[in-house]
Amino acid sequence: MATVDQGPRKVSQPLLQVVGLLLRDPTRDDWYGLGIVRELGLGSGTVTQILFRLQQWGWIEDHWEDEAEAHADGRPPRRFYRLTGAGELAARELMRERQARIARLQLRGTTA
Amino acid sequence: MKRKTANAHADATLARAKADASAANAVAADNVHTAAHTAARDAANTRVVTTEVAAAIIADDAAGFDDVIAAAQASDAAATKADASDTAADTAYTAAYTEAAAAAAAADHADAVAVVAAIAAIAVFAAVASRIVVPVIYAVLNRRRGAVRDCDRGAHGALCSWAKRSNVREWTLRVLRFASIVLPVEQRHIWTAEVAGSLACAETGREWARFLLGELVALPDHAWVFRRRRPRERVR
Repeated sequence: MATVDQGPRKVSQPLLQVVGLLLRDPTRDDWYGLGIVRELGLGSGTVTQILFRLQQWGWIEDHWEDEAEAHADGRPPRRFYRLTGAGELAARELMRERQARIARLQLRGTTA
Repeated sequence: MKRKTANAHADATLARAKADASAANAVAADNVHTAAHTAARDAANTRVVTTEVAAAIIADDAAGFDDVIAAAQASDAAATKADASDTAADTAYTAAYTEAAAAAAAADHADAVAVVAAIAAIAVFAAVASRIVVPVIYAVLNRRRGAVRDCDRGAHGALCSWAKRSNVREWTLRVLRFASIVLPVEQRHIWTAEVAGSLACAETGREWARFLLGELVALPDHAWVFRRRRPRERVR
């Protein structure tokens, strides 16, 4: 039986960036490594590991680009990612939690 | 007649008395003169003696003063010499202290440089170890576990077959294939195909190189993450 993690134990800033990018358009299903790197300016290795973790948690799923279409463009097919339904809910919950924490920190900073 | 005689006698007595008185006065005066003369002589003698004594004392004092002056001058000279010696000693001490302080500062600087160099060497060694040694260890472990399997070779073969029909450079695929040996076997061809697909979409050479280098540098981390998260029942 496979051991699959259900969510992040420690949330990093790049993870939040990737999740936030995916949440911009949850229905989009053609996110791929270089596209995310281009959008966020993160390192390719960082993005690859984050995508792997998100996939392990079940937040995203992958599919390969149509080979005929890719070969027509003279390139190999890309590996696309999209948010799953459960992943979208979990990602929104994570972002809401983080925003609440940031708001608490800001409130503490203003009252101090 | 008798009366005349008496008067004459009286006169004689008076004269005699006067003469006696004059003699007594003369003696007294002589005595006084003598006493005065004696006193004057004594005084003169005393004065002479006193003057001589004073002169002697002055002479002695002068001699003693000269000695004192000479001694003082000698003492001053000695003190001056001692001061000069002290000054020289102070100068020497200051120079030695300055030199020692400079040497200590140089030693501290050298220590700091050595510490920084050691830290830098350790960091470089750790970076090299994590980026080169660890992948080699992973590769050896994979080979010992029989990780190189026909399905993996088949996947790479298929990858190369479509890669030849694409714009992906062949040496890039070779690099990716070689680098992927640090990954678990079930992740190798997936990672290689994914990176190749992204590289083919790079718009500039800089973007292409940055993406490829980022993936290669992060390979040990990939290996760690993929290995840690991999299912217990591996695909064989």
